[in-house]
Amino acid sequence: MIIWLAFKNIFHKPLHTILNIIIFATGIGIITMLSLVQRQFEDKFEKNIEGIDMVMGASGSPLQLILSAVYHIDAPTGNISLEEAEKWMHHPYIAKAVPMAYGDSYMSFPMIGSDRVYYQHFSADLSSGKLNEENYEVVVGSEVVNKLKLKLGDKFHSTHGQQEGGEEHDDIEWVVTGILKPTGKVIDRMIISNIESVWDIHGEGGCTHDHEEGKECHHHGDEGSQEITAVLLKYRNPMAAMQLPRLIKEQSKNIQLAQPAIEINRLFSLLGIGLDAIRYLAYFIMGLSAISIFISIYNTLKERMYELAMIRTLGGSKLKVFSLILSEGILYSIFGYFAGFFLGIVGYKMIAMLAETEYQISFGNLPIDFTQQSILFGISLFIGFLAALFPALKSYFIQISSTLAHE
Amino acid sequence: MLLTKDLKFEYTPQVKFDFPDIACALGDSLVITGESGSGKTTLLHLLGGLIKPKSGKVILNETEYSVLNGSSLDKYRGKHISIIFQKMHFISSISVLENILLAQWLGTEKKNKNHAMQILERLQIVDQKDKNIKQLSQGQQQRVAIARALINQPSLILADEPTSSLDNKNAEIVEKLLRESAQTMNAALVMVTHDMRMKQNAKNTIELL
Repeated sequence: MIIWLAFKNIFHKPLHTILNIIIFATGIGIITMLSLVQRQFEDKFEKNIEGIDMVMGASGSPLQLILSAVYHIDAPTGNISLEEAEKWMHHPYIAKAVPMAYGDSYMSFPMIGSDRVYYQHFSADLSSGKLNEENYEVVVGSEVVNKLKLKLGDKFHSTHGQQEGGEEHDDIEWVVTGILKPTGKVIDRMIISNIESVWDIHGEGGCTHDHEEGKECHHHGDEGSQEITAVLLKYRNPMAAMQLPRLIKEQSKNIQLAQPAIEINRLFSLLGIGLDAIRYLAYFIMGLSAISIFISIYNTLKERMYELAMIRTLGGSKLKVFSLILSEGILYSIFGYFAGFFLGIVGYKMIAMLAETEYQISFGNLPIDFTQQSILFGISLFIGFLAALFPALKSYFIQISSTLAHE
Repeated sequence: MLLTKDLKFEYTPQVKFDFPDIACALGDSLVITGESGSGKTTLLHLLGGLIKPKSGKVILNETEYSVLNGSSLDKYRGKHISIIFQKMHFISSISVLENILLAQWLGTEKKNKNHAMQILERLQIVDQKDKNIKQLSQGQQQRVAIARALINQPSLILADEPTSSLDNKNAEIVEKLLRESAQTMNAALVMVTHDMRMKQNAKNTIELL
């Protein structure tokens, strides 16, 4: 009955109430959305570095190397010679080495040349068709298929570079021979061929760029001139982590090593500063909403002193009046929390859509952090409680007689 | 039976009241008159248990409720005493019927919608039940206040200037309604007024000096 009356009271003047709820919800919404986006990003990023201890590539920014080689969201740092790379790929310290040559794309989806290790690395299985055997045969990831509606046997021309609208390789047709099952990893948005096709289309390994019969072109020229873009490495043992970076640094000047875990942590901590700033802003908004709720209750309290005295006259105890006012504050925060939670999810969905159209990164299910949400809910209740506490105390100590006599 | 004995109240040492003893049987009514400043409202609040006397007793049906404290006094008041104020105070966020139900719940911790409807019907305001109090006329509001006062079948009904803001016709109706209700409900009715119209009709009057 008290809660019902509190509900009636706060919606008696709905405009102000809605304003309070909106302010509150904005704070909650921002925090919810941020943590959803952050978790989704961290999840995507961390999932993709599983099983990669080190990335080997051309000199440049280590973060760029990781972003380009592991996530394919940045341009590569350059190429390294295959000969040089192979020296390390077959080193006894290395358990697994995934070579990659890339640089082309199709409709903004990155194309990559690699070998069978690539599929094993991602534990990717075919959902239909077969793995690529010949040059210019490609296997496509599940997201590519969803987005571009590719079928087995479809043919297309690739574009040079990662963006749409780059120079098109008109002379060469790629053909889809296999489609992969979804893995939730970066391979889902890749188009995979053998390395030879990549060399061939860019005129390396003896093939020229304007070759007429691309499909028959095999690398037959000077092996030394062949290049790859990056290699994903997994160490055989912890000793490797100690020794190998030093060895490579000493012996292969042109090769850069980057540790994905470190680079990604660095990226997260950079992002984290920005996210923290927005999060503090959100807490500030919640603080504002506490003040706004307080003012609403306090203002109406002046008008409602008679009402409260009347409730006392009718037999309501001090505690009932106290809890009535307190409930009003807490109701504000409960409505604010749920509206904010909803707002946060809508915001997240919008960012997810943006990420999908802009970066072909599709977000999976909602990674709601229930612990964080319960803490947020607790904070909400506390804010409502705090905002209403002083007015509630004031109504607790109301003098019935003098309130009703001085009218 | 409502009884008071040697009732004294003091706002400040200069402003203090010494009230005559009062007796009012259940079903009877008593009109208390007096100039403003004579302590009429103070006496009514003492009888209603809204303030505590400096000394003396207020007894209703052998219960001396002037010694009760805190929530037990609130509870006693809610159950046995109804007060109709000169200016009517309702909860503005809820309807007429809901105001009656709230009074019922506060007084008895139960809600009985049928009973509330019966009272509204008897006071001929049942068709206003879903309206907001502010949409009602002064006379209708007075009826709602009476309905709320009667809902818990109190033993004592206190009314502070119940008719002073009404015209002759309505004043007469309200007064009659109060007297009849007190009689049928077997409650003591104490009215405080400076309205000469009421004094003329009253059998038992006390004038405060």
